[in-house]
Amino acid sequence: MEERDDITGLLRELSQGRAEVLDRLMPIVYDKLRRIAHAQLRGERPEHTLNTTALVNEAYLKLVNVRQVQWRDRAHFFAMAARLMRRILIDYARARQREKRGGDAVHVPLAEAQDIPLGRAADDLVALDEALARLETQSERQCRVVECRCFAGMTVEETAAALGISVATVKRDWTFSRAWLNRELASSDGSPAADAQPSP
Amino acid sequence: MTVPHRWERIQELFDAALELAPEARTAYVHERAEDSTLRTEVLTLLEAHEARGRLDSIADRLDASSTDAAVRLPPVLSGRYSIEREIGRGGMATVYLAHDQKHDRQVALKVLRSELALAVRAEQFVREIAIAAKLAHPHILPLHDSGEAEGIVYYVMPYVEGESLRDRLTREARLPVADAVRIAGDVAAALSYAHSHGVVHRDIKPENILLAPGGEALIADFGIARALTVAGGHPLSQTGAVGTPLYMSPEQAAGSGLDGRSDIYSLGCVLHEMLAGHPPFTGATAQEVIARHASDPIPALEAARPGVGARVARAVRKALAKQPVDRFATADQFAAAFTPPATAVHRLGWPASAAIALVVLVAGGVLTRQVLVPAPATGPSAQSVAVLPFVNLTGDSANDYLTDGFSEELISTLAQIPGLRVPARTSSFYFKDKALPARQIGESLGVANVVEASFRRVGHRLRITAQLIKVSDAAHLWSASYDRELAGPQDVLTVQEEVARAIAKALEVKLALPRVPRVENPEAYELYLKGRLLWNRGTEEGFTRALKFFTAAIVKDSSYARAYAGLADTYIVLWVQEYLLRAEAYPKARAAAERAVALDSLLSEAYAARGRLRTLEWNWSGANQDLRRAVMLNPGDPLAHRWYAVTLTRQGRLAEALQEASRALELDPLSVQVQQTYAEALLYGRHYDRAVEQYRKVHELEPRHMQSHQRLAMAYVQQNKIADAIREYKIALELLGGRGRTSFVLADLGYAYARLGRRHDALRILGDLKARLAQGDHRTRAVHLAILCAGLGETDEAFAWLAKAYEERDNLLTILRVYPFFDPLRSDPRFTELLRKVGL
Repeated sequence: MEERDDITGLLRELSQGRAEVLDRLMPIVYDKLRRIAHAQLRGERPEHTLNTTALVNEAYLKLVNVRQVQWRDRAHFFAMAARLMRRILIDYARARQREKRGGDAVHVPLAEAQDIPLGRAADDLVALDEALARLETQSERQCRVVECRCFAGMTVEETAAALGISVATVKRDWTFSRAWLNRELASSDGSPAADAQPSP
Repeated sequence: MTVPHRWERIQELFDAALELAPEARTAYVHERAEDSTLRTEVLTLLEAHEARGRLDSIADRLDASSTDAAVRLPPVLSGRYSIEREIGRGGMATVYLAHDQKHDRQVALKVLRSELALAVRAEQFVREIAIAAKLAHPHILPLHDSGEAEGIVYYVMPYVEGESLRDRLTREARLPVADAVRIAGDVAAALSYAHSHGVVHRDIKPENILLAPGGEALIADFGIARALTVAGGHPLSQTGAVGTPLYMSPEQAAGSGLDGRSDIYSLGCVLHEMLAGHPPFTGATAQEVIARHASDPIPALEAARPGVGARVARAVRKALAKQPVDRFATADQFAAAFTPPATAVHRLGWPASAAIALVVLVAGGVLTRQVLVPAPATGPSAQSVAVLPFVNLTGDSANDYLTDGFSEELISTLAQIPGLRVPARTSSFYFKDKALPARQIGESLGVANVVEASFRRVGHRLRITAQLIKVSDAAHLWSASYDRELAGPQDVLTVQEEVARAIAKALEVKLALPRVPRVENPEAYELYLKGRLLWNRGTEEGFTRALKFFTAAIVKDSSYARAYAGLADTYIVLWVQEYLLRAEAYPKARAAAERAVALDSLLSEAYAARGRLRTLEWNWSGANQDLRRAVMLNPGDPLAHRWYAVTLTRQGRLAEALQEASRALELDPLSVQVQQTYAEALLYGRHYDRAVEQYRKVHELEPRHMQSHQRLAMAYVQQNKIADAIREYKIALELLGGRGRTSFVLADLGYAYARLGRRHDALRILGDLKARLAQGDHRTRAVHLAILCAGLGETDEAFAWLAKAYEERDNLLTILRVYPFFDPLRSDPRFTELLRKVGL
């Protein structure tokens, strides 16, 4: 209960513009989210959806005193959770890839990673993460929009509130980033570039 | 790494392009992008926007909880509908079972997928759906409600229990003949009703046919496909047309005009599938399927399902005819053809008295994903190759015609090999100057291999380097270099033949390389190429010089069909633009066109030329026939589409004309002539605002294009901006410098003066024109005087001149029906009579 109060308070401060509380909030949320993810996803069939929105929701309910916050606070929470969710899933995905490849170096896989059945999604998630990283260098805002929509299932209004931009901007950013990512991900599906030199 | 402001610029162009109608986007980007890399960026992004991609799949994997959508229904909806559960998820929308609080009934609430919802112009979508919503028929699933709320675009229909035809086909593969016939009959009845109300479905397929427990079939999603296309949100298939390629009629895939007969075709495919267990045309990629619809022979139903009976087999075959005109004219006729006469099929009739006791059935049909992007499981047929535009690295742009011509000829050579599929020139040439990897181009064109080649200079010789690349893994199957001293045209052909033979061998296709019938003489070929390049410029000088080259080509080779087609084209355009007199140009055009068709009955350009000629002869049905044929023979040739558009415009078939013109624009966005045709269709369709906009675009491309100034002026007159109109007329006159169509423009100008009330000025021009006529100026014609008289309100005199024009068989009368300046005369019975005489 105490923790909840702390977090709720921090969240309210965050949404009032005090971004520095992020440093204190994130580790707590990350930890909780990871536990929830592990608990929920383990044992699931690989083809099932990861249902990240539900995970974030769960974390939200567990950590925050919902009656003491407004929907804007919720939006900020979700936006933050979206980033964390991305990180968590990528960790699992990379661990899974490393496992598959074996390899010389001894990597200590996340003990939990073996439990999480990502299946083919692992490659997809890693590719997405890398594409998002590239997107982020062009436009951090657009990267955040994509995270909010994909990893936390946020609506356009929620995303706008969390990021402090207009709904129209969110729509434009989403339409554009979606096209960009679809394009990037299409060409990174493993095929080699076709520009070798002709034989003399 | 892109520089920040460049990133913004890309997004700017992307956003702006999305504001436009789909058919105008490419042209927009071409004209606005500052450099070719920018252009490629935006165009590929626009392409990615249209289709479902990997991100969408990943997003689905991440977050697919159905309850969340329910939670997120905006208040305006959540007040009215309460969501019970998700029923299905398709390529376009997610379907929920919901309870309609207001009417206390179960409904299916369909919410457009978010990426679509953002792209769609919601009010337009809702408006379009409203048209379909008015349909009320026992075999059409009605639409209860539709709208947009806070970014969610939705539509509501009855919740129908039962399954979709797709579900049943998955279970049973083939249905008993009686069942198949009954279902098809229900659908046909619904189609007949809808078509008679002017609504075409455009997306008839098993997924959209619901089967009620009693066995009745209901068509769902009527008008959705069209609404999405019009409102700009629908992810397009590769051809830009809406609909699954498996059931798509050839004309729909070609993007040309379609009507109810296109639905009949689709129903034919469905009936075929119900009986045979698979649709009539399949393939590994959407492109392949589309190609098969267009050109493969109709498979014999009796072979796939012995016992189906000759009657049904015949009916299906007719419904699957390539040309709409060869199919059934109405869905009712189709139904009558496949229904056994003895069986009294009791179809749910539409009772004269209202109150529909439509049994509200409960739906379980899950919308399966539409195949929008080719997803080759096995890959395109190995027997396919695209010839990419060859690259001129000689440093001398005079050799451009050589490289272009070389790849063109290679395409036509390879295309003649049976069993080998080669995309047409315009499709491949779309990728000219685009920095895309061969693999991507190959995938877009749906081929298994691509050929790339470049021309370089090595000392005094020309080096041609060619390579064959397999698309799926970018493996180099073969490559070779040829050093040649191109002393003369002979060598070009020799090298071309060598390369073609070598490629074919590498593809392991047994090639008895025929003597290419179109190029008997290499010199003739070179001359033809040069002629076409000049013709494409669209100027009087270009045309006149082109004549010389085409004629010279024929001198070298008297059976060179393409040169004859080129000649016909040139005479026609010189005549119509009034640079040559009818007496001189017309007979030559006619002779050349007929010769071209006679020499090569599969040459698209020959039919295009003759079709255009027939238009000018007022032979409308003949023109339509020829031009449709031209389009069919080479759907990738913008010229055929363009001239078909022109004919359709004259006949007042403006919606179809716009479609054909759009298609031409897609294929050739930077062509002034194509842009001009599109603008004209808008103008004659009385869309003055859009016409003005479009003509401005033409001027950006080519400010000295006289005709567009003349027509722009007309648009201004119709908008009552007479001062602007007069300014444009003056520009046009200046450009003409007294030659060509001067009298025509003067007549129009006079009309404008008359409208402005400057009668004195109008009369002055009238006098001037009459004087010219009296002096024997052949470029002043009765029609011009008729126009001016119409503007002056001198009706009787106008008709006198028109009668004279008719006597002279003046080709300009082809515009009688649509030319706005004849409006003052339209209500007169003499006008109607004249229209009838001209065949309009």
